[in-house]
Amino acid sequence: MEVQNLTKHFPILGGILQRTVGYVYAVNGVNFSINKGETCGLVGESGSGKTTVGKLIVKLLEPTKGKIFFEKNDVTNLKGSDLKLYRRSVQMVFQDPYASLNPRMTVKDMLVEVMRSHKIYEGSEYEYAIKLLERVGMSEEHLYRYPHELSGGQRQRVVIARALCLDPKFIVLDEPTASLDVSVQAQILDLLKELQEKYNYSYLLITHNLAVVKYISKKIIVMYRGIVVEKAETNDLFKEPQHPYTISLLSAIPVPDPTLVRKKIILKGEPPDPIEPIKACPFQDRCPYVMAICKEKSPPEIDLGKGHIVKCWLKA
Amino acid sequence: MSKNQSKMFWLDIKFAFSLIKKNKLVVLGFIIVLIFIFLAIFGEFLVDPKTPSKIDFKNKLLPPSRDHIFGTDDNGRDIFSLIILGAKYDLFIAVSVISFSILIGIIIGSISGYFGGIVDEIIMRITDIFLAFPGLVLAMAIASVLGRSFTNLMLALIIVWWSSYARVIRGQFISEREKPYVSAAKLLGLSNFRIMFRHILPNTIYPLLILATMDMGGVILTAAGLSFIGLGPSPFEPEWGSLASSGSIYLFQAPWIMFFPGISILLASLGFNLVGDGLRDVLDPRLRR
Repeated sequence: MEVQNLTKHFPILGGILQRTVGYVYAVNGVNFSINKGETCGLVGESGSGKTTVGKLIVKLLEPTKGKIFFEKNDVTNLKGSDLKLYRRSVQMVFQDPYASLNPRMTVKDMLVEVMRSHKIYEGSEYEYAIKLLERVGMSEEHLYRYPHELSGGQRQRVVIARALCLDPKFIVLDEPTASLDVSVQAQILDLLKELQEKYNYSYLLITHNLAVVKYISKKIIVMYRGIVVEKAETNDLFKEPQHPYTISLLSAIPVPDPTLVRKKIILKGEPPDPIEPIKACPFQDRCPYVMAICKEKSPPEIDLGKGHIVKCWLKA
Repeated sequence: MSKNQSKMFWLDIKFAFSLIKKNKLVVLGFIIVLIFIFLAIFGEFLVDPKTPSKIDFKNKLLPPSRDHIFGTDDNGRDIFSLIILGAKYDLFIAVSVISFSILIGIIIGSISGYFGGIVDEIIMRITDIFLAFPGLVLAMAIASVLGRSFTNLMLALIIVWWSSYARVIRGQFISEREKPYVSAAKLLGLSNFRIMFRHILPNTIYPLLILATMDMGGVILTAAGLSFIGLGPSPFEPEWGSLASSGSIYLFQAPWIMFFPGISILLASLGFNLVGDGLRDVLDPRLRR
């Protein structure tokens, strides 16, 4: 999976004629690639465009600009039956498992429906549904349950099972654990890890929880206002964060040691309004090390070796 | 159906009844509606089904008495029997107008709400044309152009009624289509048709059910109104509105001719409204579980 210069601007309609009066600059020229069987974390604060990236990749949204490649094929403009075929390879798990399950369908209906619509496992849908549930740590008894009869963790397992039933190669996980409590979070993450080891899935893990990313992913992409400010191997990023935003983000992780005196970097100001067009460096208003050039030109991508890339004038 | 599922279903029904029982007015509404439906189905066995054509001028305009508990009309027909026989016409009008309106409303509203954009724009402007006319006036115009008959009355009412259903269903679809389960269904490669009717529609059915029940009373009222002004069925089909209408000239001489059909219309529409109210309480998910 590779994306090049991925951009999404949502038009804002206004006035009685519903004309475009502006844009929400959700994603602005994002580049990255994820290898097979790899987990890549996508982190950033709320409104930084993480989820939009995920939705663009699974083609729930059309990109304004840029290209998406999957297994070397350009999938940016897929339509109709090609798109349906693409859906079998690339799936997404949404943040809120309760909302992403139809409240009026049983687990079995949901799973069988998907298999039927793709004409896979014909004749043995039922057996495969059981197998899928077992694969995500549930059992046959849950087959006839409605979403409201399941616990939060079980719902998320059902969502995962449903994504797996098309046998995808790439799964976008949009905050898969955000709405679960901590012990269940760990179970779900372990399940995802285990599934990856067994079936060699690739994950794009979208989250704001750095502990989750550290636990599961090999690479990390840090986004700020729709721009990738830093990407690196997880260990490198946690050891030597380069971008001022990443540094402040990492300094906010709580450490379970009350005696440790830490320097917490608290950013001034509010997250920027995504309605304003991007000027030069998007982080300039909140950056503690802002320089004159940051307000004039957009920072270049600087390669620090080992795939560690940072977009900041400080490193130029 | 698993055992668990049917057990849940019965628990649901029980719970619904416990909610209904709390509100005495709703119970009253249910009783009225049940009597109405009973009369509509079994009315012909309770009274002489030939009453509408039994003209007997000797006994015309008799006040309520032991023989004719609601009195007789200007043709000497027993009003009590006429009202019982008329129930089926009014129920039939209400049920068919509402079901056809829902059917048209579902087709048009779901396409409009699901696809949005230019499709929505075109369909909704057409719907607006229908909504722009006052319902009764439009129904009157259509009914008088089509001529006086039972089916034409129904047709006129359907033409007037569907647009509000299309609107409601469209609104429901618009609010549902942004929900994650719809995105998830799209993502899983399900067809639009399936998403519309298998996923979204069942989640919009409760508000629809409530609206439909409440509207039953409205349809009965409007149908009666139309036949009151002479656009309804012939006098041999004792629809309540036309019964009341035939009594209007004798309002001071024989007020019972108009009074009893009028009360029946009132009670029937009140009954449906109360049930609709009760259903809203029962089906409101915030009150459940």
